[in-house]
Amino acid sequence: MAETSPAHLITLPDVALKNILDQCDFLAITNLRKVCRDLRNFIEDTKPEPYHKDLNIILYDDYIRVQTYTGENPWLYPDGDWVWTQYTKEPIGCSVSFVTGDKVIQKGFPNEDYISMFCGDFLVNFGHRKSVLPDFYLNLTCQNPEIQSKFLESFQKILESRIHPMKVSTFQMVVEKAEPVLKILKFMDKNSIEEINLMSLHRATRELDLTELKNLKQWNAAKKLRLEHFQTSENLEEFYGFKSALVDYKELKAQDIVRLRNEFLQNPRPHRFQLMYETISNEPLLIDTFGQPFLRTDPIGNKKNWIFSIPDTDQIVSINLYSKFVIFYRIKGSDVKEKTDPDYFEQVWV
Amino acid sequence: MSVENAPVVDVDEAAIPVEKKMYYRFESNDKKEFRVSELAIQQSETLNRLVEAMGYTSEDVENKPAIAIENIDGKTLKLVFQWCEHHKGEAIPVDDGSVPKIVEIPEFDAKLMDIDNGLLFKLIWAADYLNIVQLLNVSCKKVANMAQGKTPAQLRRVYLLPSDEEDEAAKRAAQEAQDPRAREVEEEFEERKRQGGNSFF
Repeated sequence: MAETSPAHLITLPDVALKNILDQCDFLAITNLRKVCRDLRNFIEDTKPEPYHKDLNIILYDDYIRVQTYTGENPWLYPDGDWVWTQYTKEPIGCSVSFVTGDKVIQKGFPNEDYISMFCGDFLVNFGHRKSVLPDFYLNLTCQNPEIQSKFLESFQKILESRIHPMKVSTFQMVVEKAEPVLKILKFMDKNSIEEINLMSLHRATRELDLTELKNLKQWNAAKKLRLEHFQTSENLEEFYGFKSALVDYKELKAQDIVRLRNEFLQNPRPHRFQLMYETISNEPLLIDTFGQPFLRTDPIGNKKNWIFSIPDTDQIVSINLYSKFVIFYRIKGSDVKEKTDPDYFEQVWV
Repeated sequence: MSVENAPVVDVDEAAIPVEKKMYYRFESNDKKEFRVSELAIQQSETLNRLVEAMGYTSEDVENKPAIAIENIDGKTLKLVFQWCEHHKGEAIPVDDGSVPKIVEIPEFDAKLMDIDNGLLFKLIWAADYLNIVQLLNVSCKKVANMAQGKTPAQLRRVYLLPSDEEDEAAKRAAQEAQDPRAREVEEEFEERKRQGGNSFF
């Protein structure tokens, strides 16, 4: 212990200063970096990890927008925990805007490139992060293939240079095809990934080639999968490794529904499956195999409902066939009475 | 419970308690003496080990000199012991490194820490020195909360910190007093740093 009392923050013992920084939010850390050199050096040495709930990165043609939730309050900073930074390409160099609830703080960087600027800041704020980021979202709205590939290349380099892979819980990407997902997902820590959500950029259903993705360790480690507005031609069995899945087929075979029912009966893993379809082939097979369904109507629409007990458990599987999708869900014994009531329905994902 | 009613027994200000419990005597660097219960002392890992090692009996506590805490003043030590008495018997949290670090400031602690920043920093310093985990957590939380929504200039004022320019000027003056060549070296170093690019954050 020093022999004199602390005159100011930086003279506090390292343990105390680290404790303070660990309890500061993202913006406080950002601003504390600018306060004085000693504090900046301390922050760079100790790398505090302020809480982030979401990290959303959206790539447009001329700018990159980064939105983070540093807490639960959805209002823009400083009233809430939503922080918005934008890196914009300018005729000469780039500008960085920090958008708050009541003003925009903008700074120009004449000799800098907006993608490099973003990457530099990402490296400072997330490059060394060891804790799990609950929600990572990367939206490649940018239509220009050159810009997209430049961005992906730079971003990939940061992820690749990390000593430990980046830890995220929910991994979300908005893309046109599978290739960019492959480039980014493979650098995530497979042990932290719980959920993978891939959304089609155009919100118009199109085919997604999963051939390479399904071989990734990260893909196989995830427990939940959602493919929104992406159709697949993969066998349904390819998704049996997930606890929950949302998958879209152009033509769903009744035989697949029967097989999935059997999987629910035999395997404790599947919890909730939602299969979208345009057409369903050989539908009479369902009645032949499952028997007559309950015909029910809930706020989602008319449905055919079958309920089966899962052997050696107190659980049941409920199959709900609507006009454009079928939902399977496992119901725990204690919830059976409530969840098999004719008025009961589960919220759907899409 | 208010700060005034906290069961701290300062020999200078209050009577010796009637309860037949083990109370240790401590003395601050400005010779203020405090009586602190055995259970309250357990909140401080440093003091707890110290009294265990001393193995005092009740008579020793009365007859031997108070245990000197040489680098904490009476004003700070009083806050520390008030906190320990209020939280005596409570479990000591274990830092598992989880993010975010969740620390709530109870009402008693908030009132106790309604003090100027200089004294707050001394309290943090003492909590660290005496290894009082939860007091360190709440006092650091208070300092962290002070940073919320503030600009770098406001932070400098709140935390009594010099700006880089002031810091440099002070360092330069100190260096020049020792070695006139130091300034040239420093300037060259700064120039190199400036060429190393910039960042928004």
